[in-house]
Amino acid sequence: MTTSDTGPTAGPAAERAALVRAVAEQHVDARGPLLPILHDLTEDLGHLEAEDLALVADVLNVSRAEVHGVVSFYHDFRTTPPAEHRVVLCRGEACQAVGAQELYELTRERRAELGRDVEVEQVFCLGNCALGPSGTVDGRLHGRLDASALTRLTAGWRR
Amino acid sequence: MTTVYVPGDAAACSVGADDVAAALAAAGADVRRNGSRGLLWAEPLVEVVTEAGRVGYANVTADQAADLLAGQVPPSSGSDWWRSTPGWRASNA
Repeated sequence: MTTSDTGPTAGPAAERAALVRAVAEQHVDARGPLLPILHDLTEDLGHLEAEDLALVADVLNVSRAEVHGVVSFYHDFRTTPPAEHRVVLCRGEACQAVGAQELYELTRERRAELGRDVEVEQVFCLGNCALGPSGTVDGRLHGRLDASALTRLTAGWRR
Repeated sequence: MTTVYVPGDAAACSVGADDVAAALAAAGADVRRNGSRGLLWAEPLVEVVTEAGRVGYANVTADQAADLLAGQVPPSSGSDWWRSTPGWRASNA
């Protein structure tokens, strides 16, 4: 497959395709190039689209199915644009033993109250088990979370 | 200048150690960031260097910083049984 087979030759889609191809080609000679490529693309673009994955497969000379398999296996690789803000709550056993389940359900319910464009997701263990319920708020780790702590940590999102 | 140790590891920072360190620095302490001693339930666990060794203060909050440096906070006081142990020390320097 040549570049001209993969979509428009001008405009944002073509720019994106060129970036994806460039990133993939940077890593193509590495051992196990797929994960570094996906990490870099996620960092640059925020999420991965089907067209991106087809290009990566093309550069690495692997099937699209193989790339899709890796992307869908790891939850931190996303195929939809991320929300403006992100709360990720731990639902591992240690946090669950100190109320993470209730906190997760409550936070999901009041997601709209936290801000206009907020995602509430779950994760299974952040390694902060002694200080549960744990979670990340826009990527920063917090322990001993409860509803009021989340309200305080997200205060800036409602201004 | 009083030297204080405030853990800088992920667990301590997840319960406000960065804010405590900043507040202690603003209150005039010489703040050193160390690793946690593993007493994660006591984080932020601030150790203050005294002539008798380091004295540990558990679950310190940023708004306690000035009082702590002024000796207004009793070491390791609080509701938990282990924190009410008089003169509990995290270590000797």
